[in-house]
Amino acid sequence: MSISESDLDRVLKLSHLHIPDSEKADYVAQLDKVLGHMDNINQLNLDDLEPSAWANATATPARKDVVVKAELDLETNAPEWVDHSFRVPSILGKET
Amino acid sequence: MATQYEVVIGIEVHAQLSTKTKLFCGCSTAFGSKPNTNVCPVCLGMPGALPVLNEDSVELAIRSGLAMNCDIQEMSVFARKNYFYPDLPKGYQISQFELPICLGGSLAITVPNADGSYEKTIGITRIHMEEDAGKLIHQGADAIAGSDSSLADLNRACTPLIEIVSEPDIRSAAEARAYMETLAMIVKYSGVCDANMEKGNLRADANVSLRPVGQEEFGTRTETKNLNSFRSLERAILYEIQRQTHVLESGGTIRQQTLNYDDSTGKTSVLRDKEDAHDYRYFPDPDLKPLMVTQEQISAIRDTLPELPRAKEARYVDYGLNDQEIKVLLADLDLNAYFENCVKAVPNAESIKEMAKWLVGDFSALVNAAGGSFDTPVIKQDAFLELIVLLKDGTLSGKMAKGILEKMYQTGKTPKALLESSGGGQISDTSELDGIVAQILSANMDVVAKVQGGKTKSADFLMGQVMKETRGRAKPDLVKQLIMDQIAAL
Amino acid sequence: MADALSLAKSLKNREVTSVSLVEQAYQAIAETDGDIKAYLTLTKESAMAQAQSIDKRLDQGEELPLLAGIPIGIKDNILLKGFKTTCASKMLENFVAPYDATVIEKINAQGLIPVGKLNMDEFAMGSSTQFSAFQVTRNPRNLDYVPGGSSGGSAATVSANQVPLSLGSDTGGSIRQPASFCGIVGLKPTYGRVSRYGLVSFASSLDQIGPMATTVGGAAALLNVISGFDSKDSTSEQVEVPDFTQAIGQSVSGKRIGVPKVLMGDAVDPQIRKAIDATLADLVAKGATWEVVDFGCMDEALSVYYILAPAEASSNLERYDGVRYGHRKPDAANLNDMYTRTRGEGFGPEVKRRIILGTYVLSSGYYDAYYLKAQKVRSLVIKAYQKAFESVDVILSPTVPSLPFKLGENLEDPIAMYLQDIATIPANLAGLPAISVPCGTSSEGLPIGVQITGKAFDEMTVLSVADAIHVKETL
Repeated sequence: MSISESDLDRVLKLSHLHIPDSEKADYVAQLDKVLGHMDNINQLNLDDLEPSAWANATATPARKDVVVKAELDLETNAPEWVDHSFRVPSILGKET
Repeated sequence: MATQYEVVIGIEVHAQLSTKTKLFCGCSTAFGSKPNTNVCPVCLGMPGALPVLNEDSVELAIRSGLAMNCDIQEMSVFARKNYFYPDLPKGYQISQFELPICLGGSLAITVPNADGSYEKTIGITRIHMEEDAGKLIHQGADAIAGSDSSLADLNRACTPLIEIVSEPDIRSAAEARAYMETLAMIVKYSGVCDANMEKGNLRADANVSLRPVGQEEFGTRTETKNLNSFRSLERAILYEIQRQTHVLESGGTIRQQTLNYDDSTGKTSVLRDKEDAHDYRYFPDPDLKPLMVTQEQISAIRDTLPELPRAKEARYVDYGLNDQEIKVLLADLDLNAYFENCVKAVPNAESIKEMAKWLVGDFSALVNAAGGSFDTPVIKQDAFLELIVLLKDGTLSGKMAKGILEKMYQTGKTPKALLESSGGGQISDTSELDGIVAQILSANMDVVAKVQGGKTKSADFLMGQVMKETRGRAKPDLVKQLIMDQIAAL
Repeated sequence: MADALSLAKSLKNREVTSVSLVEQAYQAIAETDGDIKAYLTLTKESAMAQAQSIDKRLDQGEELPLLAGIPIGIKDNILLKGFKTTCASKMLENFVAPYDATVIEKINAQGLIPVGKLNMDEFAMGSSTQFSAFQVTRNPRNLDYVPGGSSGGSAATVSANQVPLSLGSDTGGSIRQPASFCGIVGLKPTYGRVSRYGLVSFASSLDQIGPMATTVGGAAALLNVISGFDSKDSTSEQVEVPDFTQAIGQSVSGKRIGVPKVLMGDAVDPQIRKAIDATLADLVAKGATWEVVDFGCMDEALSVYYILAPAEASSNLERYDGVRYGHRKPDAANLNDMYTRTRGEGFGPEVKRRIILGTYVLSSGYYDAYYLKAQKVRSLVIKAYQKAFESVDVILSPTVPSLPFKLGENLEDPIAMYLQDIATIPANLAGLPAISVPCGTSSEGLPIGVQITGKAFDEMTVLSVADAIHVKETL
């Protein structure tokens, strides 16, 4: 499989990652090489295999419905802390 | 002739499960707290924090499935739905995707129409569990558009929800409303969700499409988001049907879009087009292993499932209650519990009818006027039942009972105590009333003459005088009888 | 610094104090860390206070846990409350941990003393610690060489005798490969043995915290401290925790050792093969037997890892969005601009590569071809181990097929870097315990490690075989 710069742009949009245009060719080349290497899994016969999301898919444990109050200092780590809330820039504002 | 269109509607309902804590952490689900106070590393998506499932949320989800005749899945899997938004702390929502907890149920609804009503069954595709997002408050404008920034409050983030997805079986806005109302009742009565739409703990998205009558394949659908009242659900669908019909009739095509409904204008507007649909990259959440439930657990939950609204309704019809009474008795969970307790105490058909009449009527009016609730009623069940007994044995007239009930509500006293302090109950003793009637007649001979002359209506005046004299305590039927007898004997 | 167990003994016998051990650690750091650069943060003030408290309790005759008073280094992706947890990323450069990881609660409860936070590859993605956003850690055995990674700081501090113990994390070999490069012991426990709560996630289904130590006994003692089910980690398992130090000094007589053919072939450096052969011969001399096991999917396991780990990572790293904590691009015009620039600036090139790769393999149209297929191959790897463990007790292989490399190498060639992990990755995919123990040195004097992989939750056997190997090494 060969990956193009438009594939990269699609992925960058999904992952909300900015990469300067000048660096894109390098990323495409590296990604293409890695994905090429990965094509070796296509040689295996996987017909009878179930996918494993975990090495050992035991049942998830569950906790009691009991309130535990957390004391946290949110302000120290918050980039913008206003009215006891996390402030973010305009959601629909113009692109720069 | 213009093409006739058939409306096809599917509804997705998000119901907040009535747990004390969030889906994956021990934070409180309390509504209306100061922003970002019911939060912890898990629901804030702090580095290194991990989700642990709330066992009650699983029980409630199963309960909802059983109440809607679903197959409960012994294994279901939590998946990550990946997207970025400031109200979504981890950058993904934990939901169930390929393997939800409930599959394939149904809901029987009664839809009102011009002829009264008709019955219909709506298929339930699936019910899955997921976490809610937080809340954004937009600054510098009323809405997101034009705002210069937004504040994220994550108290609601990670609150447990179930999403109930219907089959596209709904054919009109009225059916949609009936479906939503029935569903709300069911989740409420099964203890799954408080179904308080003002607090947003029941929200619907409606998928609407049109197709020419007789055509099998579905038309292109739109999805209208966040309909948080029965009225807006119905109105949004009506608007959307009208809009789509107009587009099709004028030769246009429907675009697959996600729409936002504005309750103030009654119109929908485009949120996003299919072209910029998200690619959510669902995959099993590696932090949570599969959710396993046994048949034993499922049947234990089935055993504790309370009587559901439809079964109650049938029972109330058997009691001889009218539609309005049934509707009111089912609408409020606390009123319903009050009624059911009374029924349990006095399981007698005539008394039940009387109780229903008073509960739905004057008693509810008093509670509503005082802004109270049947959860902690001023009038205790025993006192209310005493009032019913006094009504049935003729000690109280309806009018007197109304007065007593008011006093009971104001003072918290029992009807008997109130009667004693006000000088007794209804006078139904002939010997006691005979003298009073004679006295009134002799003082109003001119009126007596009118009655004798055929104006029987004038007897009402005499009747009123007797009632006045007895401060309303005389039994009206008896007084009327005595007046007519004495006049005849003159 | 000497072995943790002998230090603990001296401490119990009051031959040394905890304060002196901690002072010694900081002294060593002061002397050697200018070159090695293992530490990102030192926690001297709180460490000294903790040491004084331990000494006081010992003075009062209190019976303390085995490792109480022993200094330990912590990889900087494990949250230590009140101190920065950076993951060696600009994204978390100023992030102060608001809570303690469960392993930190456990080491605190047992009286171990964290002396600082250790350098690593950014978000644990890398095999040389050169992908740290802040500094390059050097191999204490030869400063021209990398210490391996991603737990390069954790390996280097132990190797440089700054501390006898450290905590690392291992997603595809991140404990074992640097342990091998630095000539120390490093164990990746069975998946679910140790709580991940408070470990900054890289690939959730593969990550595991583990001990790094100068000796197998030290690693076993530290494993005792950090093991056990945690109600805060749904993937931790309710399994009994034995006393792992009982594995020390056990005979390996009768133990059956499997050797995967592919990991003894031409792809392995001849010097490493020689060291492994000698190790096997010694184990046989001690009564063990060995056989070749067929393990046909090593290359594919590498591919699977580089699909699944980035896929999970791409999702795990979505929380770094500049909203609640961490780096934020200031003065962004709008939300999307803030997101993309924050992440563009905050993440380094290797993290970006993995996010791109992981997003790609999960995206619409590629999920079945890559992610789902990789999960199926994962099943194949799990089955291969199950089959092998029908006839052997442990599997032995080189930890890394090649010798440590010099600083600056492999930086621009992801495949070459990824091949470092070929022998270590399968144990992560199958969730099995695996240890790296020194088994020799190259002609250039660089350490060579051997890896012992065991059945799930059978760290005992893994540790006992490792101990038999290491005892010979240190004699």
